[in-house]
Amino acid sequence: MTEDASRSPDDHPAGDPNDQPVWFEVAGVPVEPTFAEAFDMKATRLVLTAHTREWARDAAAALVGFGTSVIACGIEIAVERELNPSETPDGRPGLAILAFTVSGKELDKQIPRRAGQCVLTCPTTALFAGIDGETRVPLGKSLRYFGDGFQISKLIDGRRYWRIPVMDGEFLCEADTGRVEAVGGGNFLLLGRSLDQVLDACRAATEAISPLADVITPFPGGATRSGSKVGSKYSGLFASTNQAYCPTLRGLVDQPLGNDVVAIVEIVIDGLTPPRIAAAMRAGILAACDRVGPHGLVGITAGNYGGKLGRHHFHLREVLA
Amino acid sequence: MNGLTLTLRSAPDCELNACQLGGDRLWGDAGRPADPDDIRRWKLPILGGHHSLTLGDCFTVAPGSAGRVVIEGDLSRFHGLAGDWRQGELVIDGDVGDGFCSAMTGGVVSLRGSARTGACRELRGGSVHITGNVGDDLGGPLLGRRSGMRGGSVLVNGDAGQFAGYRLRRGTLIILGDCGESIGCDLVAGTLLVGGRAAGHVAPGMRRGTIFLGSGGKISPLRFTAPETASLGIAKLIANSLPPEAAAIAESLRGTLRRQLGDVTAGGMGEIWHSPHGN
Repeated sequence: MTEDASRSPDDHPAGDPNDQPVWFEVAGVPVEPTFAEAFDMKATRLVLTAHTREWARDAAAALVGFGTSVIACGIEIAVERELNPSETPDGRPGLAILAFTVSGKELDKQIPRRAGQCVLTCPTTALFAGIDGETRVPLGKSLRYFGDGFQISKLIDGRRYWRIPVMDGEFLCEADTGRVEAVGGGNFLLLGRSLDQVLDACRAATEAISPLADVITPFPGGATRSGSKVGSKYSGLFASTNQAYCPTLRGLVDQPLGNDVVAIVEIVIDGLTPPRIAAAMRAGILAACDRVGPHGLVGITAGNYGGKLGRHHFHLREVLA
Repeated sequence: MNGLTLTLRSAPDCELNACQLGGDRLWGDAGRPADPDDIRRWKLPILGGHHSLTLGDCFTVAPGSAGRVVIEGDLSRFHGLAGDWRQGELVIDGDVGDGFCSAMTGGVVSLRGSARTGACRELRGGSVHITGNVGDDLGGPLLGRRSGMRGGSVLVNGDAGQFAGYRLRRGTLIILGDCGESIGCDLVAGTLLVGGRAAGHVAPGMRRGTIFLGSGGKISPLRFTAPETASLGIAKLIANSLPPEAAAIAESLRGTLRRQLGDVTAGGMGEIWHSPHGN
């Protein structure tokens, strides 16, 4: 990481450097000394297993579907990592899934509904708690009624499981899973010189984040192109496009972008703890910069609301220190 | 002093009610053992008589290892030992009489010997390990009560008598050896695992719950459905929770099982699992 005070205005990703703090560099890519603003969330982890990894993936794909953003989905949910049979309670291939919501009530609503429609329905699957927590989120506790009186409960080592008879045998589901305090909305933006290069950098970033524990990138491919601002000119919309970062509106609206920014993608990260998010941001930024360098990226920045909405501030300078 | 050791001086010539050696009486305030001088004065009523012996008449009381009470000697004439045991570790070296660990609610009890009739009746919590054999009515209800064992876990290395798990309602009962007749009779819920063979009819009147038979038993075709082959996730979870002594049972549970449901004549939907390799 090096200071970049000597860059010329033309080179500066933010356009006019006189109004901006000093950018620094990572692998030759300028990084804005700003911060990502993140929020308190509620989270849980599920462990989904199946007879084969393919069935587990199929169920997980359904379970995490339409779970990119709390803005309209109500939940941010994604596969955390794949699990080997030795890592799962029933010794079958599985996946760990992390889910985040803004309230515990929403988590209590979303998880049983998704588990009931996407996991219970998928052949051979079983669903287990993946995290401890005093507050519990219902799983089998709600789904057991599908058994219509033929469901069986079993208490093993203090954990209750429900067995629901289904057409391929029985659906085994832990009664509930833990709920913990978490953080959502860690992010960074890749400012690209071309679409291909920014997408390449984006893949590098999400690939670097993917193996990390306790974090997910809930958007498709781990990234979003529709970075939003709070509110809209239309009443009733909570969020709308952030015109300041839309290159096609260059010259039409005030923008902090230099002329060489062609496309931007944002990596959004939810995590169980702030240090995990910081580590994921660091891994993602370093990987993106290493992959395409300054020839592909004009710069790196992060999204925030002036620090007024979220209490977790991930300063890029500290994250990359 | 953080523990106690009670050593039997000589086997009594009468049957004694040893309920005093239960509950949390041996643990005084703040989890420390009771005063040995007090303990020596505790009375052990003679069953069928009007007199009592004091604990000091029967035992020497000495400090022991931390957090543990050890009772040594042939205690087969001491009945109700460890009844209502609530906390801490109890190790008994020798055989014990009837009603061992009845209504126990917590802690860990280890018996290096055998127990007579009515061990672990209405157990509600904690963990019991018996290295020898047990008599009839293991884990059944207390006399005059409806429910048998309601929680906790019991591991018996040896054999069990008749009616093991009678009216079992919750918890896990593991018998590594053989069992007498009518195990799991009127079983309501919970888990009963038998490593050996069960004599006579198994589980008449069973309502719910699970019985595993390692070496088979007589299952009435009128009371139970025909055996179906199944590989059950829940069986694997149970296998993972078993102690190392029950490795053979765990191995069977991880494989394919034959499963029968019943007792249908009692409207039950309990399940009996047995290994395809059992008789």
